[in-house]
Amino acid sequence: MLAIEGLVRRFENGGNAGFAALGPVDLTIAEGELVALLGPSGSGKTTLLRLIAGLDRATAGRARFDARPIDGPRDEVAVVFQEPRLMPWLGVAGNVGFGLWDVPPRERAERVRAAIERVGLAGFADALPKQLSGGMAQRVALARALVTRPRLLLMDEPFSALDPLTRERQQDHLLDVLGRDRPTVLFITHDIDEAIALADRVVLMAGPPGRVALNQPVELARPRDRLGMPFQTLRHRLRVALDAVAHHAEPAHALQAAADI
Amino acid sequence: MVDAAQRLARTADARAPDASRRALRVPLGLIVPGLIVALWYGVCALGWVAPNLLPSPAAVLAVLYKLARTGDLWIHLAATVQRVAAGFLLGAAVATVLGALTGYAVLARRLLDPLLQGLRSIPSIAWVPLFILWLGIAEASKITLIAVGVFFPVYLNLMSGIAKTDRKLVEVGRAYRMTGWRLVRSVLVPATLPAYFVGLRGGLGLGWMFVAAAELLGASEGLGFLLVDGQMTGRPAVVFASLISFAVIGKATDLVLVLLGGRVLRWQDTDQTMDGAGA
Repeated sequence: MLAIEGLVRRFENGGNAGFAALGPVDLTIAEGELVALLGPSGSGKTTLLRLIAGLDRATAGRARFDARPIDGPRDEVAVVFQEPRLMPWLGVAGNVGFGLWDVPPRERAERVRAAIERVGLAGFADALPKQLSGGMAQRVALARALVTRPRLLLMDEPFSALDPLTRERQQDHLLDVLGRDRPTVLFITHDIDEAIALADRVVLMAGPPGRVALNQPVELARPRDRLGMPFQTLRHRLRVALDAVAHHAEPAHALQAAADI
Repeated sequence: MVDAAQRLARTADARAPDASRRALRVPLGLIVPGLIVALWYGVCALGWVAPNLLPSPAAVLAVLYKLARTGDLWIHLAATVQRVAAGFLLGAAVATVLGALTGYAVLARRLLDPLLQGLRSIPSIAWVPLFILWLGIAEASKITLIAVGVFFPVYLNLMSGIAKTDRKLVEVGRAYRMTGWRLVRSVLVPATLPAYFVGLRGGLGLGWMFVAAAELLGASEGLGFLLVDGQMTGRPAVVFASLISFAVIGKATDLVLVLLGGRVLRWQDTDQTMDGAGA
């Protein structure tokens, strides 16, 4: 379970107060839950994700995963960044195995092979990043995260750099790729459709400073019909709420607007 | 998956003309020198220039052949190559340590870089009197001079290469719990290698420049000595033979670095990995 309590991040910028990017944020994510963080730019989504990943330190409050406070990168937490961020000098296999440096070579090779297959890149193990398309590179990045068998997977707009068709295909494949024993997933998106298509719950954020404006469960059966009425109703509801936070930056308005639908 | 396969095929296609272009490049590069030699030959054969100023290519070749036969050429060549090798290793080693230090640690950069940049603005030949005063006129002063020449390109390229390493890749390393030496070895070193090779290549070029300077100023063997000897004894063919030897050996050592770098830097997403990197 991921438990976030009163998390605040302020950046120093010369002034006495600094820039309040986030918080206070309270959020609880259950084991195995798939949560989408939706919100306009400046609502602190990436800041929150980096704090949970242990790549940044909170100014106040704390985040705990499995009751242990997060104070740095951990082996059961994996991150997929907005860009693939592959090491250009390593082939696909080398990149996928990048985080397995403390795993014995034989086991590493086997896990890397399985992970490459899982994301549909069998046969490309030796290809260099410069030879890959954007979608392939992002799948390598996903494999690099999954091969570490994370219990918490954090993704920062993992599909945003892809063209719409590739993006939709990758979204559809994500659940298959995550597998049956899938980790708890928290992913950032700007895309309402993506949030509804994938998530068990959409957390709408407002800001700055970033706060949780709305917790919206998505209780639609999978696979989800993007064109069906329930999907579209939820889409409309989230769209109105997103507009409200984007224009008023006031969580109460969003809640009210969403409730009115 | 189809798009992926096509993409790989495309890259393979793109590689084919690249290889043929490389095969073509050597003969193309020989055309202009060939024309110059032909012109040179013609000018000498027609007697337009006095042979005591410009010996014919045949005379130069004869001198080269004679020097090679008697073994003098190899003695001079060996002396020069040894000096460059020693100076290159010394200069590159010191530059690697200091460049890594100043590139990696901001404190070291602020402490040392201004001094080194200041030393850089001293024309390197200006060190000669001091080195001779301190180290005598034997090998030590020559090797030190060459090392100073090699130092700066290697140092500057390595330092800026480390400082410019993609912060996002470093963050990936951190996200996968890498710290300290492991992070340096896994991300910083490979990311810095291209800049480092550019520096080594530039340094080697300057090494050849400085060995000539050092040997002109006083040596009893070496290609630079051969230059002075030819000038003093009025044998322009010997001067030309020495110049040609410099060109051949300089280009050959540069080629070794290029091939070495090409193997290590195969991953770079550029058309011609090391071209245009000379000093």
